[in-house]
Amino acid sequence: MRNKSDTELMQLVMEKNRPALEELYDRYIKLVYSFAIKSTKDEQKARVIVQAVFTRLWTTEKGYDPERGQFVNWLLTITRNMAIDHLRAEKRNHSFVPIEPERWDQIADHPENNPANVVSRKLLREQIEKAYRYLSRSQVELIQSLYWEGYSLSEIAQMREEPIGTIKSRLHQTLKILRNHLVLEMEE
Amino acid sequence: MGTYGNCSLSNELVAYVIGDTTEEEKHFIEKHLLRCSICHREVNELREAWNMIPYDLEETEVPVDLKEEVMLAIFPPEEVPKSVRKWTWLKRFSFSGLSPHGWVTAILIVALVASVWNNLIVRQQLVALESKSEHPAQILQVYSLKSANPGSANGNVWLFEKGNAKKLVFHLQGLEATKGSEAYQVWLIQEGKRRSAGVFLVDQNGTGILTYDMKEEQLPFDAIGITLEPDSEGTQPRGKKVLGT
Repeated sequence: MRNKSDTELMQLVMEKNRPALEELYDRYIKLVYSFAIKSTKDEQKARVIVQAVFTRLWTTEKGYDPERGQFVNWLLTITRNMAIDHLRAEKRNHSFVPIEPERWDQIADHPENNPANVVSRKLLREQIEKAYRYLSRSQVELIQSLYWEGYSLSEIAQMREEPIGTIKSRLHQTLKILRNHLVLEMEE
Repeated sequence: MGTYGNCSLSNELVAYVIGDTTEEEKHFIEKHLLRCSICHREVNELREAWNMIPYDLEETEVPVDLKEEVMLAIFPPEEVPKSVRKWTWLKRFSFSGLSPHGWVTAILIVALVASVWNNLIVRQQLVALESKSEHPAQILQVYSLKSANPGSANGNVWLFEKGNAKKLVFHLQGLEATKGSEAYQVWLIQEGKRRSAGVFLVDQNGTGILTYDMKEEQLPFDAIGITLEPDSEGTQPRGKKVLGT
């Protein structure tokens, strides 16, 4: 199992091969768990999310399509959806507009351009940390509520009492800054 | 929504990238992307940035018991992966384009494997049961039987206890061979009343053995007698006494 690619392992998982699922667990548990912790800040909730993610991998009927991007991004999309579902279920009293689940077809079309292929994950984190320094406080907060806490754009507009256009434009600027600084860092 | 064609869509593109649009808006943008290379490029760049966000994660130490918890939930204990694998292997084997003759063989093999498997399981269960009820046997009393007539016949009887069960074991030697339907019968005697503890025959050396399960309510007895009976069906002694305590 060790020398199999993520794509091969996922194929085996679709054929109900348990060792393949365990190998994927070993490879990605740290990432998935860290994601869940960052999203929920709670060990018990993070455990529930991890459980849901690997159950989804085991039961998915569509599976992973390598043409649509890297496995790790697909896995992170599932993890984010599970985390958001969980957070939303907790806050049911508020009325939320659900974000369409599993919109992972939005993920990068050009894997060769994806910086994840260029540098190791650890190095990448350093680059992102550097890029984050160029963000304003409101931009960092936007990422926190939108990406990690799963609020929709209109919910954030409501909470902040700002027009939705302002939120969208802030997000646009935020992503542009991240992207530009990342590219700059990569080229150095 | 911005005006068609002049690419003032940037705010809508970002909502599209993060998947926060209605179906209608999504459809509209996708149509636009097909014709506008500037927006298409923009979308790709925004996606890259969006997908980079999780790599900002601080790595957290994973609890060691989490894997077991996750796997236990996905694979409940009653599911035995080994036998499942065996089964799919057999299925694959029997489905791989066999002739009708081959099919019969395959089915027979499957049946054979299944019955051997079954047997093994039953045997294991029996062993488990036996070992579960394993108690050391303990001798409570030994009786010596002496011949009632001149001769060399003699015997020993052991009363022993194993768990809650009490048993008698008779070992008798020097008895004459029986003729026809004749049989030796053992009697337990209490206050002059005799009850049968079973019948036995002897081998060519005149040796016979017998075991008897003592029922709780049948205890106790004060003497043991063995008679040579005309047949093995009597409930009271009819023949002559050969051995006794």
